[in-house]
Amino acid sequence: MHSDLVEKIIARRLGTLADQPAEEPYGWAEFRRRRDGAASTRRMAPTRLALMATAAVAAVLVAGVAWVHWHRQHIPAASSVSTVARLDASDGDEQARTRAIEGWLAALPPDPVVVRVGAHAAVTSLEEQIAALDDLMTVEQAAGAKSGRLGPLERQRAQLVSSLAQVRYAEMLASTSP
Amino acid sequence: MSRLADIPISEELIARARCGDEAAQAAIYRALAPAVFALIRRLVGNRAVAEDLFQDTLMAMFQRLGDFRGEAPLGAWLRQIAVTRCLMYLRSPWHRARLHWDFGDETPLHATMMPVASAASADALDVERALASLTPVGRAVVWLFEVEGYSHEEIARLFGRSVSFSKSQLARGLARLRLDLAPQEDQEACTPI
Repeated sequence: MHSDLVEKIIARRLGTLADQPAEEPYGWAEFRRRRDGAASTRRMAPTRLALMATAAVAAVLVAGVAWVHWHRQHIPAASSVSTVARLDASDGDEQARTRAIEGWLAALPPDPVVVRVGAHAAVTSLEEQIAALDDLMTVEQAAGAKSGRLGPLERQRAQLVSSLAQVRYAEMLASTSP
Repeated sequence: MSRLADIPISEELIARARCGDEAAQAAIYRALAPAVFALIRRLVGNRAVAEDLFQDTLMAMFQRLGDFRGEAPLGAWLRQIAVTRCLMYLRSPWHRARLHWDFGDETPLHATMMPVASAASADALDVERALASLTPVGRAVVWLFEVEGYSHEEIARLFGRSVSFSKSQLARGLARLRLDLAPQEDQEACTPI
């Protein structure tokens, strides 16, 4: 059969189908009940939102206070960043400075209370690079490498540790600021 | 059943409904609800989803009745609201995700679709089945073009796509329907006089 004719037949059959009695929807009473329900939900929405926001702010405040409290109890005064800065000025020994920064880093909690994805990723990346350098230096030392090859690795490691400290310090300031 | 655009609603009833007269609103609801629900059900398939869209559509109609200028029949105006809402649903990421989770992308919904016509003849059931074998978007395009009389330009605008999208969806849909309904067409052609 010609396709145009077939399409006309299909169109006619679809039209006939459209004229058939169809499933009834629910009645006016049910429509009104649903409409009133939707209206009351809409009225409740701002209140619910305000409650949720208040609860979220309260949770952040509690977490912040808990973190500050924990921080005061666990961080020795000597290993603060200002001490690290003084070490930097008074002691020229790079290794000692790195050890001081590492001591401060080790005293930090493994994860900050408020995790910012960007900083978290940077910290993870820096920690991984430091670990890789540590492995490399261990291999070099085991192979009895001359200090000329270890020196650049140590400097690179010191830079990474310093960067890590800066990121974690910035993170700490951001999490304790109101 | 009457088509939405052909259902007569008096201006006086509309004016009363606009002023918040509940009896007038109920009368309009009773007159238009079956046709609008059938259209929505036809476009989205699933009854639960159709009920949500139906509720939204009629709530929008009563809320925006003040904007209705009476240039076209109320049913035609309501049909526009219903079609827009159905197509918004079909285009929504949620609907696409549901389709993907349930059946894989572009799979027809015939497994979940129940016939829309309540007292359908055998022929109507065949057409129902054939329609249900189309993808939701294909079914909507075929229905809007062939039954509701929308042009390709209007369908394209409603879907936010090009005219060729509408044309290709229609061609694919009709080809599929032709395939599904072909045995009966042949029978009709070969029936001895």
